[in-house]
Amino acid sequence: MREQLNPVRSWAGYVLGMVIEAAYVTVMIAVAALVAWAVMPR
Amino acid sequence: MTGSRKRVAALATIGYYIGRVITGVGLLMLVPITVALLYQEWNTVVDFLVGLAAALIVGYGLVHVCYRAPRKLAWVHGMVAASVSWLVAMAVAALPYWLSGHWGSYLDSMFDIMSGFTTTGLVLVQDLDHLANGLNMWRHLLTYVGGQGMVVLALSFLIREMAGAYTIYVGEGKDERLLPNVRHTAQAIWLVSIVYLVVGTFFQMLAGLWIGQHLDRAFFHGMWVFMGAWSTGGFAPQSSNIQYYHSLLYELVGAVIMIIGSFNFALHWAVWTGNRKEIYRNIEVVSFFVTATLTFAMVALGMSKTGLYSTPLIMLRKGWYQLISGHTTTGFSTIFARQFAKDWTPLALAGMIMAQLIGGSACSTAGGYKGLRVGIVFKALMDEIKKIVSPSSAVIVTKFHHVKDVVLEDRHVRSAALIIILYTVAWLGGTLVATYYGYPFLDAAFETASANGNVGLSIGITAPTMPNLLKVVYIMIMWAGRLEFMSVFAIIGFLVWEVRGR
Repeated sequence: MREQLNPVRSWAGYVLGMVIEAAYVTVMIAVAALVAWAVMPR
Repeated sequence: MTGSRKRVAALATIGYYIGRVITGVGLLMLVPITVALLYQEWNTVVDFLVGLAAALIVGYGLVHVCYRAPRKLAWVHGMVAASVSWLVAMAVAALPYWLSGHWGSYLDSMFDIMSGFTTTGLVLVQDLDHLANGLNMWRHLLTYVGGQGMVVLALSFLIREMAGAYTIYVGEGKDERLLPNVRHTAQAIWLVSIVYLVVGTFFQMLAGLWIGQHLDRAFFHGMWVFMGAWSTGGFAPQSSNIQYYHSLLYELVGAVIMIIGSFNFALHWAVWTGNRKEIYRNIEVVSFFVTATLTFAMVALGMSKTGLYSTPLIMLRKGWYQLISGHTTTGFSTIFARQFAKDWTPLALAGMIMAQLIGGSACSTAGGYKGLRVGIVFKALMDEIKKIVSPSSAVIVTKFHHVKDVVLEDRHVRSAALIIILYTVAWLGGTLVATYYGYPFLDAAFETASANGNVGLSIGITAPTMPNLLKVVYIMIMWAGRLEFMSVFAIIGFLVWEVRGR
């Protein structure tokens, strides 16, 4: 079992965390859009 | 203590914790009661009052009868308490469903409750489009609570005894400590979930207002769709699911929430509390990114041949959306169930089945093999190949990153491979049962992968008219999949020990 003790706990940190997670998902959707574009018959 | 006294004490300890969890489930009914009162749905209020009374009688009854039992739980007892809690909770929570008349039988009600608790999303409800708001609140609240875990809920608010806490926490399929104390870990999980509940409901509500919903409807639909997405549950308030909204914006907000919802709570906690690089270093995130891209490539290639999804945007809204919904084990859909069978090619369906089986992250609301295990097995494979091509004297050390760097050991691989094998066996077993009843093999494989991975996408098999035995099989594999099998085997072991003696 992993124990994790993080020193920083603040609302600003939580908000930044959510923004980072949303940014990751945006990159993921962008890659999916590239794949969708690549398979389109031309 | 003598042997028989020990057995009674163990049963009483298990009964005490189950009683606490059932009490918690009963008290949750106060939320749908409030919504039903708000909308003056008096019949629904009565249905829930009966359900609440039943839950409190069972819950407090068990706690009262077992109050003198020792609070310390052995591993097997903790796991039995967790897994039996889910079954008893299913039976109790189904009462308001059954009384409402929207479900054909008590079995159908229990199926939908288990589907909600396990964040699956398969439904047997009839005339969903005219369901009372109170009942819709209950459906989505169950899936929200089930995602975090009922034991996590009880640990956070109802169980103060620490001695038995960790064992039932693990028994529920979550084995990571975000903080050293298990109660604080449970509370951290709830903190993340409740913050996202507020933020996610707000954005989903804005999307609802944008497409012209009234404020109260936008709020409740926003909250319910958030709950379905965050818990990777897949319930939506209308029978046509997310397709009902006909909105790219609504779909996108939901997609972002369901992907974030499929992350490991340890990852959320790390990213939120300062360890920002974890978002791209974590083995599960990498694994998810790779498998989601590869399986989507299968779906896109499979569908591009048909010419049905003729632009990249349509491919995203129809192909990627179903794929990511399946991979995160959510189960939202923007197409009708039978379109999978009639329009989708075998290659696209194979991509969907693989994605549904792989699933989201460990210690998240998602189901499936989990990215962590897939990543570990892949690393182990690479490790083996390195060993083969290296000189026999070379020492190969492989690491994986999950919150911190961990040296890959045989015990990690053994545990990951074992769970993957168990999932696969359960999937094959369920597929065979469905095939026995005459469903085509590919349809059966799709639907069973959906039930086993707690996804909720349907190809059309799940319906009130499906055979009762298949309903029971799907209930069992949803339950076993959500608890990751070990707790279920603990029940069998416990019963065998009780009969034969240790």
